[in-house]
Amino acid sequence: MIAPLRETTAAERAKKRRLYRARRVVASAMFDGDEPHRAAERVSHAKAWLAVAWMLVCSVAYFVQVAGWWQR
Amino acid sequence: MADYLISWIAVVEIALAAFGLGRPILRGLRLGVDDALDILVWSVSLGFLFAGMLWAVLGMCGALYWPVVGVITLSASFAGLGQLFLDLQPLWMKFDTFSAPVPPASRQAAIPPPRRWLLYSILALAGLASGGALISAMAPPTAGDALCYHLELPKTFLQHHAIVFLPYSETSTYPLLAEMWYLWALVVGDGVTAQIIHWLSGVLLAMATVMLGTALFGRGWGWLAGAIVLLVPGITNQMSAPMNDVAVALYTTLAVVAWRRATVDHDDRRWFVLAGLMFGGALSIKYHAIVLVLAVAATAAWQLVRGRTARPSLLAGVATVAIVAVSVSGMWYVRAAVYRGNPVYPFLSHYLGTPGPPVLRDSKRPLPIGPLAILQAPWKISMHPERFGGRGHRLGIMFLMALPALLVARRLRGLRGLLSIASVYFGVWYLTRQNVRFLYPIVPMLAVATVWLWIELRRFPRAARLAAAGMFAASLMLAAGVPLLHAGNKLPVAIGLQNRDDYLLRSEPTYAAAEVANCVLPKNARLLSQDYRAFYFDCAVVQEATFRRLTQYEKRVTSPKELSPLLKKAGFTHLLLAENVGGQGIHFNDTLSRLADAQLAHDEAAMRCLVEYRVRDRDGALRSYRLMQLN
Repeated sequence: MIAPLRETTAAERAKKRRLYRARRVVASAMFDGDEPHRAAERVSHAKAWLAVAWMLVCSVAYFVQVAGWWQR
Repeated sequence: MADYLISWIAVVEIALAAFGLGRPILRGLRLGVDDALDILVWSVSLGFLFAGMLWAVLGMCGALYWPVVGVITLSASFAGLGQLFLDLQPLWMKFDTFSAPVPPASRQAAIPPPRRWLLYSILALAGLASGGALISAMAPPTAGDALCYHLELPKTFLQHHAIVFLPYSETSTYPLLAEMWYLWALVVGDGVTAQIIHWLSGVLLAMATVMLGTALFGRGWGWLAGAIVLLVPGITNQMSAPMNDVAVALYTTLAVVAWRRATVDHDDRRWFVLAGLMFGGALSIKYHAIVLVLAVAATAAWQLVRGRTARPSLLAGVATVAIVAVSVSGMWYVRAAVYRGNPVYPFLSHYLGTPGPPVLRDSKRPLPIGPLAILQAPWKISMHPERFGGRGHRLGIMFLMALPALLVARRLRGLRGLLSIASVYFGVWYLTRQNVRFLYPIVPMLAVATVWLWIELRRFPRAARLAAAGMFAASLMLAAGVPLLHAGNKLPVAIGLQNRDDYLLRSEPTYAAAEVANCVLPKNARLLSQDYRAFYFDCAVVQEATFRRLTQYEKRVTSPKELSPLLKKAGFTHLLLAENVGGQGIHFNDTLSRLADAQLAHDEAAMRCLVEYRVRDRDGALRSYRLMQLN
């Protein structure tokens, strides 16, 4: 006899989603290949400006350090 | 001007000899290397490796006589000239920036070559930086480590015509391949020749980085990776002095290039032999190469676990690399084991139960051990290099700017493997000796990763791309300017307008004492020196700090008058007393000068002062030097 179908609960669906995301993260970290299909894909403004902000902080801090070394 | 010419003729002769020795070996390996850059880099590096091994074997047999070295050098340089003429046409035809075959990885990732103006601008900046380093290298050597170790040991070996054991020199049982090149330079030329040889190893390191980058994203971008290496301030600074950190980075990089060819590109299995030779070269230069070997072994183990590579083939490759590397470098470790009872003296002495100075002490690890500290480490070593071995060895800002931004970049086949090796190396570095110059072996890998970020900048929005490019351009220009500024005061002596003796009298604190000692001291004189710099003395020099640590002689001096009889009994005829009398800087231990002054206060005839002077050293300290004769 075939068991009757049961509706999955929201908690089960959330757990499944989390598992799927975790698997994707692990697979992505293990992946060592090219992604030519993403060549035309733009980096989002948020990510790009975050990276630029980091570069700005590093370069300003470094130039200040170098100026300090130079004065000494 | 004659000195200047002799140094350069010697450099050309040694470079040709290295090519002459290495080219037949490369041909013999039948690896199918036909690219001009690859032929030059592999041949010269193999030539230096085998020449160094040859001098080492001659030294251990007591046959280090200048006619022997001279005849071999001359024959090899003529052979090199012949090889160069044979290769000239193919080399010239193939030496084109863009003609090198585009690797499969770069085709898959859809990477167009860099714009020519970008390529030539960055290459010009790298040329300026390395030009500045070359000017500094053409001035007589004054770097502390060079004068107490890298040049001092070859000079002493040449005086004995053999690689002798020096019980009071901690460094004499280290792996000494780079010092064998400097010995070669001292036979054919002089100290300046040795410096230019190390500068040449920096240029070869940049070329090896080009080869590493070419494998990932093509020759055009590969050139930029090489240029980044020449724009690392610590690398250009080291290229101007006869040290060994750049040389070890050259051989580890070449080893990784050959290892990748065998394991990632699945080229001919003979690449494993070449990888073994290069690992052997690196292990013959510095102990720290062991860490890179461990990092590559860890990635090989990961490959084995994943099973993506045929396991028997990879295991056979690992065995080949290990056998060849041990055969090449083994003599240095056996020598250390014979004389010190520890093949990696002074490391691990505590565990092996042999005497030795503490090398892995907390003062060598400024960063605490912990997950937060390791995350902060890249920032701290970039911003405060003075805490990690000195500002002169700094990595600059490029890698700190670029590496976190790689999180938004696409993945590139092969890059993860390189960054894994670099991460394992960095982890071991963090746990052992946190000196920034010991990170040079991973600089080429970080340079390749930085170039990949530059390539990926084209996927950034236009304004963000321009802002990032502007900041990278400013950092590159700063990196190119500093070596030029440092070279400014060395330019007159580098091009022969200033006499080398005058320059050394102004720039090297021990030179005046050495000049007096070389004029008045007999050949068999033995000097106990508080200053560690000994290269310019013709007589035997023992560092007082090492002598004190090994003998604890000061504990046997119970009354002032006992000092000079005790030192004379130990074989010393003269003392060089060096005391800080003002300013900041390194403070030499004053035990010997205190004891000598106490004896002189009781008995003025116990010692005779041959020369006394004061000099301001580069570290800012004002020091008083006295050359004393023990009566």
